[in-house]
Amino acid sequence: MSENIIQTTALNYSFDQRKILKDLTLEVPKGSIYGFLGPNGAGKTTTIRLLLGLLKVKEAQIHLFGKDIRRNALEIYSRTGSLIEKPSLYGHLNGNENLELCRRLCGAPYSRIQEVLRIVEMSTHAHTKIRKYSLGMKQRLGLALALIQNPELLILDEPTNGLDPSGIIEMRKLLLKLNQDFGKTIFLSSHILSEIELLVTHIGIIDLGELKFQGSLHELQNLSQPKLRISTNNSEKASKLLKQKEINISKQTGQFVEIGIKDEKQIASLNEYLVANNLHIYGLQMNNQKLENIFLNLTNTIDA
Amino acid sequence: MNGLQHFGRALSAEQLKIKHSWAWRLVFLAPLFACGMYFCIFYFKGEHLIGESPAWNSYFFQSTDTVYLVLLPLFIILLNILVHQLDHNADSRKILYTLPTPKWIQVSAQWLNVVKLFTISMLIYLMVMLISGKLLEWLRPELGFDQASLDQKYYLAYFKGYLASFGILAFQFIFTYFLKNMVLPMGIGMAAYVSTLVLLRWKYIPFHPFAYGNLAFRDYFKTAELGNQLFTQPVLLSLSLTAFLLILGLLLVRRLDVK
Repeated sequence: MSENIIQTTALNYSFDQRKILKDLTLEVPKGSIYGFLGPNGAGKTTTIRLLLGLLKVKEAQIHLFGKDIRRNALEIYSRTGSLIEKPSLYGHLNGNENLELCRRLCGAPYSRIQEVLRIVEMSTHAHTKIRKYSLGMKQRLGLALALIQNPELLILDEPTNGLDPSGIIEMRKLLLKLNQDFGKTIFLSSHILSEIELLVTHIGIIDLGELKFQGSLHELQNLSQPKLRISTNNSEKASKLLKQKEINISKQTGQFVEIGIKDEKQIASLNEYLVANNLHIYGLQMNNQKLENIFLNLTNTIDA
Repeated sequence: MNGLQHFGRALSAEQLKIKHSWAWRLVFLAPLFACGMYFCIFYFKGEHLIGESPAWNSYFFQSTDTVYLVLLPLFIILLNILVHQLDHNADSRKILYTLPTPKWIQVSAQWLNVVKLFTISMLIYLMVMLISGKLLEWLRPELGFDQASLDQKYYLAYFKGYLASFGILAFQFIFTYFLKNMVLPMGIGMAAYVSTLVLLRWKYIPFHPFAYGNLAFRDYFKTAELGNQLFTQPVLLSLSLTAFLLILGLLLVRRLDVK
């Protein structure tokens, strides 16, 4: 079993008597890019603030690098970089000075400033005042701040927020480079699956403070059985015959029957079975659910 | 890494934070404004303002008395707001407090940085007062600045006023640290400031933190004994209040959730 860099155990959090998180158990494997997905207001930012110790918990429910955040915060901070919502930058200082300020606080070597500027491709803008930066440049510099102490873990809250499509693609490339070339474990939140599905290796889906799914991207894809739509001359008879075979009917109309199937071999055997029972088969249509729909179904954003 | 190293790093980060900021400019502009104002008044109407006391004493007293009563509380309110708004506007605590320097050390460094700015400003004021007095001696010889130098006791009175102003400094520091909205700490500070001016003759005014600076400075003119003592009532009250507020502030910071 791979080592979990982030581990929460039945994490609960309430604010103003409102339950924000309910029994949240996160497992983020080392070396992964973990996408933490959920609609707005699902509890993603609260979870991230709890992971970083910015919000307090009473019990030992949050472990980073196997250590309780309440008792080992400084050690955990020396191995973690973060970017929460919009980057925290001082507008009256330039990029280099913002990095220098954080460098002084974490005690990283001075050469690290040039290194992180190179990684985020911001070296040419290092001496420009932040107030003259575009949103994309601010996000990049925010990421550079998160990288200043060369952390093993990056916790990023909606790093693509507000970026245009090309900015999103650039940020994706940058995060892949950090994971693949620099070996960083990345935990990032988003409310748009399509923005991160090309990036992540693992996914956690949260809605109304509850974790609806957690696993690899492959496991999420397997979560939904492909559907087979069988168009026939007698859908009622077809339905009865399929039920005799203990197959669940997902949908039935006068023209077709829809069922969930396990594999392609099953399509052939069912076809033979129905034809043998004197039914005319007009069409067999496979329907793979899109990942986006799975996410929307899990988060109750649309009707299943 | 030991606490002192953390502290040194936090202090140097604070120093960088105020670079190019209005907080840093205010440190120079405020004493220049106060001195410049009294320089102009004495240059144009000095003969009406200097009584029987030596010109230097009269010049220094009238300017500094106004500073401690009227200008300094406003300066402290503004300085704290300008320093803390840098963090509030950048929403920087969510990143600073996830760096491996303890939160309480960062806040303590921030306090020491404000004290440093306040001290620099007070030193600039003193220096510019002495230079402007010399300038008046040269430009308006008839005012009599050459007849006697500034009484040494005024330096002690000035230092007492400085120490007695720490109460306001800590009071405003705590409010502006915790309140993101700059209007609230400004409103609280202005209310306290106005109440000092209104209640100046009230018998309990010695217990009003915003009056400590002026009362400590004026000790000298009550009795000679009080004038020679450093730790008089307003100074002690101010330093006690400062210690209390800082301890309370650090306890609150420990429990602070960064939302």
